[in-house]
Amino acid sequence: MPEIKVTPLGAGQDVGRSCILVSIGGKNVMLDCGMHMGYNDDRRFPDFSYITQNGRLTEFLDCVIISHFHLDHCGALPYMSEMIGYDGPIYMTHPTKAICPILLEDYRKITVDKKGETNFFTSQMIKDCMKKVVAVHLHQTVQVDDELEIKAYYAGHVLGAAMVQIRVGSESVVYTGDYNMTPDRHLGAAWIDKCRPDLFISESTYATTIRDSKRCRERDFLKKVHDAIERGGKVLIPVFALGRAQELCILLETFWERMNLKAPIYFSTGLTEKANHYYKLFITWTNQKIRKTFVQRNMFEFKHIKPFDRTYADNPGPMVIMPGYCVQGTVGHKILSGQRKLEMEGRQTLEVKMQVEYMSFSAHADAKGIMQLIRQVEPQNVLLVHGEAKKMGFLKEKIEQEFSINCYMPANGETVAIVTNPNIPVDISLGLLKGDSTLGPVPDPKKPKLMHGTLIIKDNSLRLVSPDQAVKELGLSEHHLRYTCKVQIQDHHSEQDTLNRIYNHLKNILKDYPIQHLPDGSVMVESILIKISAMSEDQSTKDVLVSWTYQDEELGSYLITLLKKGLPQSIAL
Amino acid sequence: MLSFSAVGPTPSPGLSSEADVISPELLHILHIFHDLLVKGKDNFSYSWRMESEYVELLPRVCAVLGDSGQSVVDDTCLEKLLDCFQAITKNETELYILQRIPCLTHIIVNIPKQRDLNPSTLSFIMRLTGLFAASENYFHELENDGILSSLFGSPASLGSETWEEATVRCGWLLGIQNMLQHEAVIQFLCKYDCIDEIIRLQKDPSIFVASTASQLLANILSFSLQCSELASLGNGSKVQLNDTVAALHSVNWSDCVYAITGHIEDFLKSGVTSNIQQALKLLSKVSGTNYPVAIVSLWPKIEGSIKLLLKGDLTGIGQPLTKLFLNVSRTVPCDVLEPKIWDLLSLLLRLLNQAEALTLASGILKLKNCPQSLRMQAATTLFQPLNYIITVTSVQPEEDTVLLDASSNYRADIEHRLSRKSACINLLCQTLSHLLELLQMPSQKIELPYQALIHSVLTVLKLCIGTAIPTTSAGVSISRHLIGCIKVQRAGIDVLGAIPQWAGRIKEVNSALKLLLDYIRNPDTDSTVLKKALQALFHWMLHCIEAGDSPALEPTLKEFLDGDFFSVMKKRLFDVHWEIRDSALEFLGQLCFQFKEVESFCRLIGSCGIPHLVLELLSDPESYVRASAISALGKMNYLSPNWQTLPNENSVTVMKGNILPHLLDILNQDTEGFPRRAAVKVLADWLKNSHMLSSCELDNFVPIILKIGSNDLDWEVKVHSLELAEAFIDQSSSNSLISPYAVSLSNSTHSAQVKVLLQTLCDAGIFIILFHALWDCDRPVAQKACEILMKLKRITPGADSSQIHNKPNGHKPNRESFAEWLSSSNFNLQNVSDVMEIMIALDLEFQHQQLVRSSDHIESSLRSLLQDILAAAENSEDSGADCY
Repeated sequence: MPEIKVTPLGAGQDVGRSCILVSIGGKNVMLDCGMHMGYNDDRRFPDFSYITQNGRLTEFLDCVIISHFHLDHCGALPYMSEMIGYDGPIYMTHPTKAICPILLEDYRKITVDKKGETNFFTSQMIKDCMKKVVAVHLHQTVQVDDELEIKAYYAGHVLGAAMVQIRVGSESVVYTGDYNMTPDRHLGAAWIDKCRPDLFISESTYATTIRDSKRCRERDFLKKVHDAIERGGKVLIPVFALGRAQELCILLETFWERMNLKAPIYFSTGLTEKANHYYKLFITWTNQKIRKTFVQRNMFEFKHIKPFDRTYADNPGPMVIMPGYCVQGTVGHKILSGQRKLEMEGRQTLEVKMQVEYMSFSAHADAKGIMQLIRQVEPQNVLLVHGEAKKMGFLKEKIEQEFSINCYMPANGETVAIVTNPNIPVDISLGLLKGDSTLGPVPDPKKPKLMHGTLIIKDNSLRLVSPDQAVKELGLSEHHLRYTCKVQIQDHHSEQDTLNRIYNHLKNILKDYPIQHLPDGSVMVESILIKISAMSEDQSTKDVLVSWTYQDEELGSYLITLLKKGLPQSIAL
Repeated sequence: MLSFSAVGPTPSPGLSSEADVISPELLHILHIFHDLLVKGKDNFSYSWRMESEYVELLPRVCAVLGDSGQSVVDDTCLEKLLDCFQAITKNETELYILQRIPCLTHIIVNIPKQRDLNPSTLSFIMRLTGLFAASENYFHELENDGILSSLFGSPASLGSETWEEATVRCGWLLGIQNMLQHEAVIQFLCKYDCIDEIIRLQKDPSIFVASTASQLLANILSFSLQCSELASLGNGSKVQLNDTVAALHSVNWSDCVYAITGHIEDFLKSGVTSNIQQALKLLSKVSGTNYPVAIVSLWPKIEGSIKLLLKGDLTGIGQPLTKLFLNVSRTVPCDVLEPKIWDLLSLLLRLLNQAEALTLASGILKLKNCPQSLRMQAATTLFQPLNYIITVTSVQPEEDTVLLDASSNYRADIEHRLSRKSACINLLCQTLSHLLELLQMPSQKIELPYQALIHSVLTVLKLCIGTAIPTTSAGVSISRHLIGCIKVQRAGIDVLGAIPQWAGRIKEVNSALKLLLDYIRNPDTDSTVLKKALQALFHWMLHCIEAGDSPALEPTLKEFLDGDFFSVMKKRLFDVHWEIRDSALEFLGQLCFQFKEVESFCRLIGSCGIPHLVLELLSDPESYVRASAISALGKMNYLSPNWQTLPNENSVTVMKGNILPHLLDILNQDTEGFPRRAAVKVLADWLKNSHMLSSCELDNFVPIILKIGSNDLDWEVKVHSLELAEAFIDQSSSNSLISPYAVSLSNSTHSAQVKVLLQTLCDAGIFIILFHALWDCDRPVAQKACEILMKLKRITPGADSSQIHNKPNGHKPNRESFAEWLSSSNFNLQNVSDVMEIMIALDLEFQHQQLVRSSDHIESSLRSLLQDILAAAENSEDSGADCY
């Protein structure tokens, strides 16, 4: 039976980096190629040696698909394509292709400029990698080769994020990447066809969380900001430049307008500015409200929010709001975990006096959203990635219970094999269809119909044709196979008379069947032939030879049972 | 018995009694800790405060690890903690660390006993125990106390649920791997039947576990045999491999070795493909270790089974057999094994199907001491698919276009494979990628038939774009498979581009150039293929130039360039895809730089209108393209000066004098970093590599560019600006006959010359830029400025060590205090004596030491890690689910 195999090299029971290998219909597809932000050495990249022993990734992989521009989904791409040497196709959406190099450059800046690493991918490598990328549109079916096709769907989460359906023949897999099932202020909710894939690979960051109302969280955020400003303080929001920055900018801008606030809002120049440019460029990827009001007012042109200038810099306190995750080994992580003293360069120690608030604004589907999407897609199997093991376990049980389907949650390096039912399309010849319908009654669409034909494989296609046509097309000569059985009956009449008695007996019983007495003395019912031969020693015992084709197997068996019971005395000659 | 000191769950606010007195051993450990974790070892002096904090923090972290209710931040913390201990135990055979920080022993002993232990923590403990048990003394202590047996004895003792976690199984294997440093470990493994478990784990559902298990078995086998060798031959004696093996056969091997070899023998004979694969993989790993004795010792036990395997069905075992044979032939001298490894390789090459044989053939061709006959056999195998294509696509192939002579029989499966589309594409891609690997090797072990190779690759590439007309039905079928196939196009062009470096005089130059131009011209050519075609074309053009005897254009190349090459390139420069425009620009820049001395080329490019188009691309909407256009123009300026004087309107517009304002505009106005980087880099290169700028341009433009560039927000623009400043300094100093690399001479002439130089630099505003950049927030910028200043300081009179930083205003190294110091001292950076005074006062060496360290050296230090673990444990609010 065909199988779909899935091996996570990352995102298997963790949220470190996404890199999932899917083998489907003889094709190997790499879903995302992320890096682990927690490491500064080779461990940050997936170890591809586990999937190809000879290091020939280009030969092994049929394509790589990147779901969105976050580094834990695309950060290892230049490493894979320019340092390991993968030379095959890479697919991502247009916004992802536009924004990816910005993120990769920023990451390179941190690694090379700030941390001083030298053995790292260069700007040229990032460019060369991006030149290998094939950009795809939403709902566009892309033919990777003759057998493999992919199709992207809107995933929300961040600008350009996509879910992807991978199809080889009748087998299919849907990979969600990161997605959001509730629209936020600048992006819409994820959506996909009811495509009933064999396997649905879903992220599960919030596997056990039913998130509080977004409105409450926003109100809470604005209240905290407002209170701090009312007290004469300042608020620092170290937010990731792409995605949440725009979400919070829109939130603050709207609030400022409503409350008629005058306090200035600044955002740092550089990435955020550049990011706003891309949001304007790819406005069709944002939510309905933004798209509708775009002509009157572009929501990414902020009235109250101005680019930050270094001359404004002074002590930013008294509050810092961290709207997202910070990796171990960063100042953000220390502040967030409650450390009040920070050692700085030159043996200086800074005391954290400001108020620190953590508020999650990350755009992932919660448990309800994940269930909702599964309900929408109707998959045969579910596989969870990008989540914590314990929480995944909980969600897995819930999915299996509610949908009565298998749910898997492999750890990194573990392979899950899912058996699929092959659905092979076969063409039926018109001749066979017509021939069959003339024989039987009017076809009933509610009842299955048994059809006899010959399956031929020619020119890579399967066709069901009549045996005659098959013989003709393949240039073969026809042979008939018959089954023969001998039954002994007691009848004192002559051989001819016995045969007449059989003929009459069958005519009485099988009223609807054409029964013929052939000139050679044998009796024929459909394809069944009956002959008599007398036993030499005992004239009253006759051997009845019955032979039939496989099509009349049922009738043949019935006749034998009948003859074994013997002929009734009342039958005339 | 070990003695364990109890570790309290809550840390005391002060120092522990043990930490109050720090012994030299502990100090030593702490120094190692610090050296290893703080990147860029420096002369940073240790303070007692820091060390005592380590001592305080480690027990508290141990307490956190021991508290099953508390969760550690994430697995990366434990991994990083293990890195530290690994580094320590590498240097510390006496394990002072355990004597001084007894809580480490405590966690090894007590944590595994806990219920509901986090699998990651248990895995960490196992690996940590393994690290410490690598010390034989400590191993015995742990064993006597039953700790090793409870952790590594039987997996059953850990509980089936725990063992189900892949991370625990991995920790178990890595723990054993860590301790595998002395013979006592081997005895331990035998005693507790660990080998059977490791053998089982080779089939683990986790590829990480399975691979680790296989590697561990190979390591145990090698290590165990090394121990036996040591026992039989003693230490230090140098003997031949055969003698060592003979000596090993005369002694008793450990039970571990018997168990592993028994397993290999059984599996090789099992007849079950997966078992045979597993045994072959293990043997490959054994032969891959740096101990050839191991595989040679095993060989007599397995060669019978291997021979039998070669007589049977090779389905599924071809690849592992290939790997094993190649590994053996690399590590073991050829005459040691019987049957000879070359015979086995030759036999396997004959038996494998074409697809699998390619890998083996390619491997053989890379071997160093392989017999020529085997090499020829391998080459024949490698060429067969291409040769088949030549045969079925040509009416009567010419003699030198056929890769193999008629007597070479094709493998049975070639025709079949090439008749099916996906198999045909895969086979060709494999063949071409192996060929490319061969061509990319620094030297060739065999003389390849380049002429025929080129012909065959050209044929394949022609089939891919439909310009070859096959003459046979098989050829037609192959051409149907290949037409438009990007995969084969990419692989084929790569090979075509790699041939010219090896081939001498080539007959097919014309055809190659024409075909590559066809690809470049074809609007359907994929952008990745086009990029490769341009690269290949560059190599062929270079070949033409190198093959010619004179600096003039070789006739074939001239004919090619006189054709429609430039018009095709012009079209590509305005392609709708930015990837193509960019590749075309990169190619043209490369070409111009390489052919800068070839006058006829310079004239051709000058008159074809391309420079004008490149100039237009400076305003391309895509920043990558703008940057490439700048680089290309920069390189075009190296062309022989004649081209710029042609009476052609287009070429005149791009004369260097006109490019400079463009570069300045880009630097001033471009919103993207790439073009600005490219602009400064071009100028820096001009100044560095040749005297491309006139003294007038130097005086007029360089100070302006430096000023704009050094105030840029992009760190690379700033670094390139400093490179420009450095080139300016070098040029100015060469004009004044002073080498900035020379040690300063204290004579008055020299002093006067230096002052003239420094005044020139002052006038150009170089010192304002350098002193500003010295405190830049981007480290590489500050580092570069510091290096330039150090170089200048060396030639500055009076800047010898005795006079360094003896100024009363000993300033702290930061931007604010430096600026304050400058203004309070009324320094004028246009004044040479003020500049000299500042340089003398600055402790640039110290500054440089600070700058070479990474910016996160504090956050990536052990102390920071320990603090983070503690903070995460104290603040275990559920915010970990969040991510990007």
